[in-house]
Amino acid sequence: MRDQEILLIATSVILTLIFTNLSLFLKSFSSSPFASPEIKQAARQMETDSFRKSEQDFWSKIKDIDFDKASPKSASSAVKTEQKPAIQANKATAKIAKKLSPPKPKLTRLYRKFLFIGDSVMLDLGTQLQYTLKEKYNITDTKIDYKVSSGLNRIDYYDWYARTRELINDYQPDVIIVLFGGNDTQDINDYQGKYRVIMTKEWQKAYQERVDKYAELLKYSSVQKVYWVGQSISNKSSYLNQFPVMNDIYKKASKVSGRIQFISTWDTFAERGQFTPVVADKSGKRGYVKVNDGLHFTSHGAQIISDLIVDKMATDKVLKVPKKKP
Amino acid sequence: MLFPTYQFLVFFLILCSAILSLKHQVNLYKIVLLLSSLLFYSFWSFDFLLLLVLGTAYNYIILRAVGNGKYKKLALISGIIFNIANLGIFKYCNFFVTSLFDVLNQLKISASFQVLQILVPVGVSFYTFRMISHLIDCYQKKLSCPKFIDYATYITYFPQIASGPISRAPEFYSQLNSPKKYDYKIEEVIVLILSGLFKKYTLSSFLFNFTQLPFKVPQQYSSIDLILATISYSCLIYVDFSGYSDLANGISCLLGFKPIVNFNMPYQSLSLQEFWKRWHISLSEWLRDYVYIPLGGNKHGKLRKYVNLFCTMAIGGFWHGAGLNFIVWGAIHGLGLVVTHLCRDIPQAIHLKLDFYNSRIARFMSWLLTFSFVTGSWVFFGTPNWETAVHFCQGIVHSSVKTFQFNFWQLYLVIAVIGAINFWGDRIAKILQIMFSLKNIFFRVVLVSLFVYAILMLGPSTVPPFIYFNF
Repeated sequence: MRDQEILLIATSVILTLIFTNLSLFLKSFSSSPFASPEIKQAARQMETDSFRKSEQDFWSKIKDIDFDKASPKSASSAVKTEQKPAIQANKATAKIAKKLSPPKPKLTRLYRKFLFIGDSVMLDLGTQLQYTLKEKYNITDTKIDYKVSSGLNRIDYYDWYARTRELINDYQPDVIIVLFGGNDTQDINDYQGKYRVIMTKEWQKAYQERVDKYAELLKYSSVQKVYWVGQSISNKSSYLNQFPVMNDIYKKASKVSGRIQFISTWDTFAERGQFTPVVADKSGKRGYVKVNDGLHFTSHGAQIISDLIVDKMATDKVLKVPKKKP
Repeated sequence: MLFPTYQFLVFFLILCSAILSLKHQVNLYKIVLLLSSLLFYSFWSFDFLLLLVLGTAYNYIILRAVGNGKYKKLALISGIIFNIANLGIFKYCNFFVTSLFDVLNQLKISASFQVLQILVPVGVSFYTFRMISHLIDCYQKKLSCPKFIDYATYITYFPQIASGPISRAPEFYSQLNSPKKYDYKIEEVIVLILSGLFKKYTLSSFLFNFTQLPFKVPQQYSSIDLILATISYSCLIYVDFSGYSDLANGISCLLGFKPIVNFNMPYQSLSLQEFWKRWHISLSEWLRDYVYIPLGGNKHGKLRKYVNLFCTMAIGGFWHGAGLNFIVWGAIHGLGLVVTHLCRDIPQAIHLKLDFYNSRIARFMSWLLTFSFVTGSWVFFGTPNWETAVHFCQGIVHSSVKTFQFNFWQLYLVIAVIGAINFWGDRIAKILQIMFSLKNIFFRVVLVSLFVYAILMLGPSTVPPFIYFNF
């Protein structure tokens, strides 16, 4: 009798919750394997409720803090400034530009502010990049902005376009390093609202549109250089099939502007075309490069990719080794 | 499959509907429970499932030899070696290989050989511990060799396989084989499940965001932020793990098993000894019975007792994770326990009576010292490696960053709520049980719905995985 009662309570509670907030239920349920494509499509088209929006704003506020705001070094470094809009208006961004806050003074000194954008993989890579830039090039004005489980596929979950515009306006970076894709390996709703199954031609077209839109946003911004980091080889078969296609999409989108450059990392952890779990860094030190999920870097793997990016920036003269004081 | 997901909800509702009517048909009940556990585990990976099934079968063969054969000791040793090797390969292989590369790098020896990257099966540490303790119990004749289906159900029991609590075989078998299952109260189950959801979904997910970056890049935070991050982590690991235990216990109650108290408001402890009697109780007791006592316990003099305590805690630390920082964390607690024992043993030896121990100030100071010690030691537990832990500790003492970044009332509120749970958790649970003991089912449904709705709304959109799933 008691067992039946508890089952009745559980079922009633679930039904009550579903009917009191159907959109919340649909959004949660759509991520489960039981949801049909129709439910997934419907859930993604629903607007995020105001509570979730305020929650996202709260976390953005935490991440928004300028780490070195109080640092005496950055405060004392007097530089010339000029007025330049953070994001230049074009057809695609004309609407958005109207909403933007007035542009802030822009640093004329090249490449001092570095912004790292992406998902949780960028957290691993970004922390290593921050460390290398500080140690080797004495660059402390860096910022990581990451959101776990996000990407360019599910803009309904986290709007990277809006967040990036906000970051560019507020932080005014000179260089942006972008890494997306880890959470984008899922079905997509295209701009017509149609549900597209992953890796189909329609999916590729829809994802290309998402990525192109992001590249356009960067193209018409005040950022002087953008490095779009591709996904590296993995031991997971699903990633082995998906990442090369996605890397092609990023590469194609990067061609929209000379300021955007695609950095291929695919072969960095490969030997004869196969994933190799242990790789040596520049100093010859060997270690595991990816954690068991086949996606996130170990600190050793992040260091190798970070060195690759830093070398590229040095070749492009984005970075210069500081002169030692006599 | 994680507990707070729709996937699990569907699985559990179907299972409950099927299994609850079978509770009194012992044999059929066992079969359904075993199949459900295997199905639950298969959601992670079929390879892991195969490993679990093979490990269970092999251990059962050894168990038969330990129980009946001529070469009991040999069988026991081979069984323990097999289980430790199994754990070593799947959990520690990557650590040993990394350590080997570190040594070779230090010696500047070029090593070109390739190695495999091994995935850690979910719950391998927990089920291996159960397998080892079962072998020892059978060898010591505390337990007779069970039927295979009983043994397999015990090892694979799904509410506890991923993160415990580590149940003991005798209690499990007696409940499994009895047609009279645990006589739970509806309000008890509701409170356990709501408590688990609230701790995990609302509190732990909130604190997760305050601990991620400081524990990865402590150099970017001020001393006060790092202290707040440490307190946050201390609270996070408590609510995350005890939340899981609450959910596991709630589900176990429904399946007819008595809940295992795994956490008993640990941060109100006045000494480190007391802390380990309140924190992860099932593991502490396992380590006491199967590591500390076999090492000699306190039967071979004081010095040996201290060494045994230290070794047990260091082993416990290494069990948690394959890394130097985990060994250091265990060793710190081992040292702390040795000092705690010394503080009691020395006055006893010289017949010194310390009456001030019972004064309010002394009690408060003991609490503060214990809490600070435990919280500080989490730095080594939560940071990804030894170097970051050192940077973190340096940052607490002196940091070049002065901006106070974590000054949010929401954070203080969450810490205060966890403090209240920690000090008055038992009273809060009782009050909630009285609230949910309403006779009218309609009001019960409304009340539970309100609580679940509030928990879901207060939780962030992304719920991180349970911390103890890594162990």
